[in-house]
Amino acid sequence: MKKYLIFIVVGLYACESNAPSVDTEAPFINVGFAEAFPVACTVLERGKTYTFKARFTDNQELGSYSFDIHNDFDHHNHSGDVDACSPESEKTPVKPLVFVQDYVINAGQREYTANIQVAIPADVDTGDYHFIIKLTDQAAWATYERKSIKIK
Amino acid sequence: MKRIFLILNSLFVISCSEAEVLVSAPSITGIEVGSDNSKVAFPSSDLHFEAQILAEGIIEKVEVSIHKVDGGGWEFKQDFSEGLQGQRNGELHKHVNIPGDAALGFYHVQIVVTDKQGKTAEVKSELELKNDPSTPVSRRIGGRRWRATYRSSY
Repeated sequence: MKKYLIFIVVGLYACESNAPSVDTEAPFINVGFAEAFPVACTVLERGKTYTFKARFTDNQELGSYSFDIHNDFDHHNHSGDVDACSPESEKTPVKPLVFVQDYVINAGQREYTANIQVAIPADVDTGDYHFIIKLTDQAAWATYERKSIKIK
Repeated sequence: MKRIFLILNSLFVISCSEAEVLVSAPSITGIEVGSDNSKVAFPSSDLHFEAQILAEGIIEKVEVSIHKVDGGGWEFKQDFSEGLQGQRNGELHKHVNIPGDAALGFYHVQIVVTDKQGKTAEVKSELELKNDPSTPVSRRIGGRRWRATYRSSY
């Protein structure tokens, strides 16, 4: 009888340890350090190139991230928006900046600092824009960071 | 005794393997339709909508459809999986153009999320299409045609 009980206990333990460890935590985006760029209400000048910086961490392994800049000429919302930075009047886009880039983080990283050069073309529409960072970990959890910025 | 042990052991193996594949169905929360969730939009302008998606079983497909409650009118259906497919969570945020000849009235905006296991979540929100009060419209008064009259001044 004791022998059978031992088998059952061992079986249960094996079952538990064979189950894959499930990652239930989304990664974290840090834009609160001194060199982070752009920050809320940053004004980018046309014709200039900037280094965008953000720090990423994850409890297990980072995956990829994307930077997205799109116009906010219609003053639309995103979840978790920051202040609208004294928005200009609504207007119709003529040649708005559209910047959407995906970047893969090398395997095995739990911490990573993004350093990406972004050139602002000289002929894009000035005005209110949104800058969105999306960070995804290897378990496919995503985190977003959203800022209102301007181009002049 | 041996038979009881074998039955118990089989149950453990079955429950163990089932535990590895059980995931919750997707969910859709934080739905916003129209600017500031007004649930109102205007022909010849764009419709903003947004929702938070959670799919432990990994997002496979996100579809949005819009149809008039009493049939006819403007119909819209589009796959918005790009940028969300392969993730366990994400934000659906889109703007779609409403044609100028879209019939005014009450519509339903339906969002359907399917995960990689085929489980789905579905939400429906109301939307009213009406004339933009800030857009000049023509108006006939006493047989004369007046231009640049604003509906908000009625």
